[in-house]
Amino acid sequence: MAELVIRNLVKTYGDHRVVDTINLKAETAELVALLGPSGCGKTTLLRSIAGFVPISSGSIEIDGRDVSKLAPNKRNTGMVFQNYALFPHMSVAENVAFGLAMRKVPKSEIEKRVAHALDLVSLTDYAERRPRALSGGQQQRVAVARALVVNPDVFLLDEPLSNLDAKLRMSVGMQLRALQQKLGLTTVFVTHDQKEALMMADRLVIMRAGRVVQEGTAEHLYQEPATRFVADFLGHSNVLTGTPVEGGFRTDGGIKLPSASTDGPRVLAVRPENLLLGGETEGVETVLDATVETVTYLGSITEASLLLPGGERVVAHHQNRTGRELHLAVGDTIRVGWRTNATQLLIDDMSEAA
Amino acid sequence: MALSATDLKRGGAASALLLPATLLVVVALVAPMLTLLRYSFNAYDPIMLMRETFTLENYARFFAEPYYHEVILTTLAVAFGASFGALLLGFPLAYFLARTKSRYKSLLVVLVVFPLLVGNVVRAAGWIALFGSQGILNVTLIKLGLIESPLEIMYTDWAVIIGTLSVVMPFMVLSLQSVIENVDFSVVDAALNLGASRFQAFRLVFLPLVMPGVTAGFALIFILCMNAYATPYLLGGPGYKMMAPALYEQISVISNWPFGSALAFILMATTVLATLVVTRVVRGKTV
Repeated sequence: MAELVIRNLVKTYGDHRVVDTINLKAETAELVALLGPSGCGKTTLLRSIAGFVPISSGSIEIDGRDVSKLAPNKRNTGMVFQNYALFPHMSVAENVAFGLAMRKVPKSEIEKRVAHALDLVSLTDYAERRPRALSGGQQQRVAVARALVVNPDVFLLDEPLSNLDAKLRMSVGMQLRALQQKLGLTTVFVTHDQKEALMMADRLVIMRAGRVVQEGTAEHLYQEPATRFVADFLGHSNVLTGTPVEGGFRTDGGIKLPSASTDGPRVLAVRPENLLLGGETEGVETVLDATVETVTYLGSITEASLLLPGGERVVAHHQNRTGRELHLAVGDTIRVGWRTNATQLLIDDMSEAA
Repeated sequence: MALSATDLKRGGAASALLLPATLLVVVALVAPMLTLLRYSFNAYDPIMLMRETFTLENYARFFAEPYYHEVILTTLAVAFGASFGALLLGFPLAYFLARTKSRYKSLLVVLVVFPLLVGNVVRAAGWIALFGSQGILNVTLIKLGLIESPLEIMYTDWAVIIGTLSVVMPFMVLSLQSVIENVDFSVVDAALNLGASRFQAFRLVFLPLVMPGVTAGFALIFILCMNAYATPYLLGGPGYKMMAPALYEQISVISNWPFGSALAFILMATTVLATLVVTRVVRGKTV
């Protein structure tokens, strides 16, 4: 296993910069998730690491060796494709053995290593089956075993959970993460699903329009998003547009709110779980009277959409702890409030897209 | 589960829909074939033309006369030559058509199909006008003094093979294209990612996946070539030794229906046998 370093990587198709000056590093045994909406360049970036997409400029180094000019078969990466790309005319064991055969590993050793890899993904009993005869989850494990058996320097995962049903996704994701940690694999993981990224990654890289918007741990990104895009993409955030004023922020609806920073065009963001309702608002800096527009009971939480006096709409999540249940009806007026330290003034990088 | 009344009704409706096609096959294919099969065991009579009997004489004649050995061998050679030629020339074209993202793709497909709009006979007639001993090419070359006697282009084996090949080419390209379009090319990427060279990925992954379709396409074209009539007749000349012209001559010129019928069944049997052998060999290699 090795370190992956990407410097100033650019990929253009015609005039369009699909990947625009990306710098990225994955330490040994680190799992980095590339997260972003479709078309943000994350898959192109992953495919350029594997060598399927010739890059326009920049460099890709694996373990200090520049591989950006090498053919895919000379890079020693192990990739799990979104649709798994198993060879349908070969058995599970033959699929897993393929990479070893290409490396001219002696037959007896191939057998041993294939058996070990299948054991690792608990598919020993399925060695002679054809991929078609396996479930989606099993096919995914074959793809993982096939990629890992060759001891790749970098492990590449292209939306590996997206073809599984929702129930499986969680457990397969956890297994994949456990395997990655156990084997100490340097891994780049592409997904558009923030849950997968939050669950599995050591570090998240949020991409948009070919660029990195922000990177960091899941907690860091969730609690301190750098821009409106990140706050909105990772979890949900209530965004109030307005202008910074002396000592605070005035929303477009005319509500003046206390806040810390006041430079540049900004939006005020508050997470739904940081909106306090009714009696909880006792002693917090901002309290407003809001009208309840919708109430959705979701078991552990109740989600309420509220209309603020200035005409803005916000969403609040109330935790339904025993003794703290909230009884709301559409049309009720309720006090809503938040602590100033639960709000952020964020750079508005969404207005041009809106 | 017991069949309900609606199931039965539905089954009846389905059968009714199948009836016209079934009738057509029986009337247009099975009945004439059975008639010809019966004829092939009759005897030829110079005066009555055909005498009802049961003899293997017609088949025996085919195997006894060296002339017909030559006919069947020429037929096989032309059919294999044209089919392999169409495969070799058509594969790259089909691959390109299947993989291109050009917005002119449908136009290119139309161009491939276009020759089908020109009938065999019209096309062959055009070639005679162009390449015949009195054709434009020879006349021009002689007038220019480049050659003294006309070049022998028409009425050769090559004229027939190339002519047949050009007739079947669109079928070959279309069937290969649909096969290649159905391949999920991420498996080729996977092979490269696992360390295979481009050639290894082609041979070990791509080829085995397209081979069943290639075999089917080849079989279709081979059958067309084995039964070619107009092209060999026009480009090979009236005496060209291939099965379809030979059996047509027996039936329509000499009026020897029994022998012509026997030739028809020998042609059919040979075609089926050769097709089976080819598909077996290919399948044995890849699976």
